[in-house]
Amino acid sequence: MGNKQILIVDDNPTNMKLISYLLTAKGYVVRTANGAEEALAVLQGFHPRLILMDLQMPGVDGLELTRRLKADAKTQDIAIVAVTAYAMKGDEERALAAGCDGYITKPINTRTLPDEVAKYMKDVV
Amino acid sequence: MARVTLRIKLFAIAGAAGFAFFILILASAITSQKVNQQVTEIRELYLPKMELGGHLESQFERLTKSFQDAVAAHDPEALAATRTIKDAFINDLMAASQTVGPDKAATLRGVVDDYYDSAYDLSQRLMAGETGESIVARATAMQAKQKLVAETLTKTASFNRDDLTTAFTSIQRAQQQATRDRLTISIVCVLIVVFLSMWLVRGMIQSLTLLTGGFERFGKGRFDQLIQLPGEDEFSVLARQANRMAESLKFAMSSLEGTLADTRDQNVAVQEASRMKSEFLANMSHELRTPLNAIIGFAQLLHDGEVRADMPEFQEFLGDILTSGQHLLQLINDVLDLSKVEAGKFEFHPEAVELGDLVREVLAILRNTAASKGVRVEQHVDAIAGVELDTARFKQVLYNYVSNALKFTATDGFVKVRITKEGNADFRLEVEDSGVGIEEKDISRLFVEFQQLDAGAAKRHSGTGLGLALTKRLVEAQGGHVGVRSEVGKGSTFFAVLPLKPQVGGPKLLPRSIPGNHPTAATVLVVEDNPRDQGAIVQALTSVGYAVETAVTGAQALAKCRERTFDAITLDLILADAGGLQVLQEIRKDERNKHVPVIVITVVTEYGTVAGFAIHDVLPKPLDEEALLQSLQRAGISNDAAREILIVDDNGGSRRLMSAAMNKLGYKTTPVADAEGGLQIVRGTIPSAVVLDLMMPGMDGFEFLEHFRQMPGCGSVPVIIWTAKDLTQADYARLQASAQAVVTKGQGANAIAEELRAFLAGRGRREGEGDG
Repeated sequence: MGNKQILIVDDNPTNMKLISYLLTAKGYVVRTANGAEEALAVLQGFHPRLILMDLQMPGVDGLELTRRLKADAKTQDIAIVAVTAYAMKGDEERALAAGCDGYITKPINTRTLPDEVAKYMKDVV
Repeated sequence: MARVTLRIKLFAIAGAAGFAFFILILASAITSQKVNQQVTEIRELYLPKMELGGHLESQFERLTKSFQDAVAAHDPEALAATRTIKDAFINDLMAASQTVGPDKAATLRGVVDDYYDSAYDLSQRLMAGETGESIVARATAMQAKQKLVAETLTKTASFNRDDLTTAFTSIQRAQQQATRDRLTISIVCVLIVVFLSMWLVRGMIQSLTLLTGGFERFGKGRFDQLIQLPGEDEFSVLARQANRMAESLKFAMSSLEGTLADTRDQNVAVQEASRMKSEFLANMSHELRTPLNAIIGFAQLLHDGEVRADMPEFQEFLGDILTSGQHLLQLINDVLDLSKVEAGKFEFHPEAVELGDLVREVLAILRNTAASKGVRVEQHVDAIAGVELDTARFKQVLYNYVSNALKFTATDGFVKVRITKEGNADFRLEVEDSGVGIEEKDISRLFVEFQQLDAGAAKRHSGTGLGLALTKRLVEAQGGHVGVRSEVGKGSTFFAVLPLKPQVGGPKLLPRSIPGNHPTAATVLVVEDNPRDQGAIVQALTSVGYAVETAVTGAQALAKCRERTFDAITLDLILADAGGLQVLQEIRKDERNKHVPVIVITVVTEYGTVAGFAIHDVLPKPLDEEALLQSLQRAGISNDAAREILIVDDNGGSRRLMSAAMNKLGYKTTPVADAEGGLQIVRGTIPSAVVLDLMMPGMDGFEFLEHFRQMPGCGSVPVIIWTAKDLTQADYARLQASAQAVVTKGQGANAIAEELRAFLAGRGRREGEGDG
């Protein structure tokens, strides 16, 4: 039935716990990575259909990681949705410019998140 | 010699023109006179001629008539009488021979004589009764001769057409000559006047050209080339004024440029601040939403039945909601505090406290944390009496420091809390840990909002990232300061120095005394009314061990100087009640501090860069030789021939005056008109002292000092400021600004301690060498 793997990249464990629980309950296979480095490590052996990327992380931030992943042939096809608390003008543009396929603002609405995620989990023909 | 002013020149030109005109009229009159003379001459020449003709004719007629009468009367006496008539005629003719011309006269005489002879002969024969053809022939001959005489007479003695032509021609010629003469004289006069005018005006035009050129340059903003117009006339005066104006403009422009540069810098700083505020807001937005995310998210899960009450996650998630909520609360509190402090709306409630108690309370809260980490906590609190502070804020600061220390210290490490008295009016709190230490490059980020150092992601969220920023604000708002010392791998010591009795809300500084690092430490009097600047200077001095006393006004400074002798004094140029230099003059008058080295301070940047210009003394203008002598003796300047005293002053009169006074006292001098020149000289020979005017165009006294002090060997050369007696507020402001500007763009502000040390060392050396 297609790739049901999701990777959550965030530096806040509580956040990751929330989303992970929610999505696991919906039947997805969820892995978490605390920061960009860990994400890259996890991606060595885990090919998700979707990455939920927190943009505000210390060190290599979400946008940078997005760019790298989109530039790499091995990870190009992974949908990346930006998750961020920034609500300033230009943020959305920057996220999309970096290659993000979508944009979600915090605080997350657990009632609507699963439907939004489902959109990106469709198989590519 | 009288000033050849414009007025004189203009009068000269007018006078010359008038004189020329007069000459012209005179010439005109003279030439007319000449023509008149000619006409008169001609008249005299031809009138007699005109008269003569008629006269001779009538006489001849008489002669011929007398012959006829004599023959008719048969009177031999009458006939003899004709000779008389003829003689008279000849006489008259001869008398007028000049008029008619001697030749012509002789010819006429000839024919008259000829006629006479003929007529006489005929008359005799007729009277003798002769008749016949011979008589007729003789009569005919005689008539022919008579006719000849008449013709000759007409030709000779009458005024005819030729004469008229000659006369007119003469007159014409005379007229022409007169006209030529007049013309010549006119031309000569005009040329003279023109050349005279041109010569007089040439100078004016030259001056005008120079002035115009000068103004053109000034208009373009080039004030370096002044107008060179020596002399005493109005143009020179104008040139001098223009030059003065140019200098003022030049100075104004350079101050303007200075102000502009300052404004640009300020602008940059303001923009930076604005950018930081935006960053702060962005960070805050993120920080606030993150815990909210957890709260809302988990609450939704629980509320929507995703997680049932019997599942283990139920409790767990409730716990997460709780912690996130608490975290959010802490965050909001910190941000609000920060804003309040920054807006000056924070209220402190100081009360008398025992520091030891407060420390114990805070450490109690953190005891468990420390224990669970295996970190040892110690406290050493000095007994300090009379401490008043806001309990909650102090505990907040202490808690912040200690919790940070614990965070970054590993098992078996320690955290030490120390409180000691600092100076007379402050106390110092230090929290030392044996943790990982902080790198040099990270220290500047420490007290900044939301900047958390990377101590591992897990640790990041046990703090709000605002703690140190808030601590800094709280401490500073109460009149203190914070800081940190750290060594990577060894640990860090965070400190806060607070006043024993906090002065809150625009504190009015009280003078204070701070002891040095040992009982015989040199004591420096710091005269500075700006709290932040004073703090910076005091810090700079105490950190190298000097004892410090402070004064906030000129009056206070004087009072302190009357109590004791200081080893050195730092002096702010602009004090609330008096100009700094004036204060120095007053201080010098008192026995006790006559010889004390003085450093005029300029404090510049946010980070307390302090620069000092060591000035030995200040002398007012006009020169008081007695004061000068005393100042020189105080400075211990020897008057050996090898070294000379450099006099830098843009005013020639002042230079000469000072030079003369110095020479009289036996000192050799090198006067120079501008600072640049002075520096040039110093590069060749180091002077034994410098007498310096502060207010000079171009490079002023402070700039000179800045360069001077950095030259090798010049560090301890005494500098005497010689300046106008009363500097206005504007002057002081300018000096201050100039000093600041100099320091800002200088290679590096001389640390005031360095300046002092060099100065004291130099003084000691001179004293050791003995008086000159």
